[in-house]
Amino acid sequence: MAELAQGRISNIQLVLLLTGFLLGTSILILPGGDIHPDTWLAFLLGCGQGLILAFIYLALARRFPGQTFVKIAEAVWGRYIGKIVSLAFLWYVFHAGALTTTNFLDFIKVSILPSTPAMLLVLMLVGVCAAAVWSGLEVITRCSEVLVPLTILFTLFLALMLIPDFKAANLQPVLQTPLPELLKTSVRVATFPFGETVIFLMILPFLNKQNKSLSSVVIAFALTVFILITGMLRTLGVLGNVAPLYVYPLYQATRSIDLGHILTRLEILTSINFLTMGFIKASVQLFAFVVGLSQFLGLKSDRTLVVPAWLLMSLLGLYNLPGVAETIAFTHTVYPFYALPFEVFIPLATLVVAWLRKLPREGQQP
Amino acid sequence: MVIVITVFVGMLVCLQLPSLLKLGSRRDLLTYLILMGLAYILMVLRTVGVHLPYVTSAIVRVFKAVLGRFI
Repeated sequence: MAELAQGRISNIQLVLLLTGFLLGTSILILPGGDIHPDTWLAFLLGCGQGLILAFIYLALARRFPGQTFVKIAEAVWGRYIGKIVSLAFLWYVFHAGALTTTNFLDFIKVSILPSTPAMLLVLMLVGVCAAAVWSGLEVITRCSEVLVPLTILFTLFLALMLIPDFKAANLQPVLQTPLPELLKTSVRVATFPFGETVIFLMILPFLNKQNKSLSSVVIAFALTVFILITGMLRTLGVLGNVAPLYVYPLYQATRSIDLGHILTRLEILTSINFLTMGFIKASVQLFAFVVGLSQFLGLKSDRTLVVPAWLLMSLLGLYNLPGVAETIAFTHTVYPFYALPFEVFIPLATLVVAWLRKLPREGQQP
Repeated sequence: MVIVITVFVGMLVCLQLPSLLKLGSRRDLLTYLILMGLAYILMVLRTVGVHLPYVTSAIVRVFKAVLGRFI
């Protein structure tokens, strides 16, 4: 059991892993749904709301050190209700992983390889993630140690390269968005991507210093919101009012880079950023699902489920939504409501019940 | 294409089956075979052109029916 989680992850590794996870798909599909001059404020508000959610997850993880959410749910809710809660959580993890896969697939189908069969693409994309999961959590975190700093570097480089096309007038008028609209966007940002941190309830038990996890989470959130705001501002500054019309505005903005006809076609860096961060996100989701389902079913080995989970997640990725427009519309409209029970109600209720029942009791194996 | 999928899934099973048998856990073996069987059936159905409903589209329909005013 738990062969996949051999080796502990340090706090700096948690920062990079969580940053990679949060940037995952949001580095290409800007969260919130709209791009307007006040979106940066919605990102900050959403990050703040996400931090409140993260406090709940961390409080739960600290109350039950070394336990994944599947075990915590069983300890708090009892055997039968605990199983139902775990199953709901595992469905969310699996479905979120499949949605990441769909985003991967849509982007590659639309922008890079339109004629390649979707099944082949999705099996190869998630296959890389499955290989990482098979090798264990330590390999995924080490990948994030290399890939996340590169992504930050590429993002800053692209922002610099876009300075000649940047029009500050496109960022005006400032603070004109009505407050309800701004709050609505911030809630969307809180659920996607920040609230998805709930999946780390399957990762946090493998931290070597649980008591320092809060600072790691705060740093990861700050890094993510910085990258997202940089991406949003540069996109809006370059594309202006037409930015919301594009499916992938960040990608479209970088297409306009042309420095002396030498530095051109730099959108490949945006593609690399998306593919690498998407790899981290999908790997974490696949890992969480495999470990969670193994514990749920009481299997002897975690590795048993890696290959079936790879195939099934790829297939659900194909059967999620019929097209890219529907996927993006789902992310911005229905997903905040759909994710609410899994990101807020279940962890919060579990924490409250654990507190009321004074769990874990002294002398009891947590 | 069905033959390619059969060979592919068969190859994956052949690679992992010895380690599962060595593990000696009937529950592991059964779970693995059931899930691989499900994946194989879904892959074959897609390949032969059987249209399966989109999972998230169904979720969207349910949410729009319940929370239509807010979405």
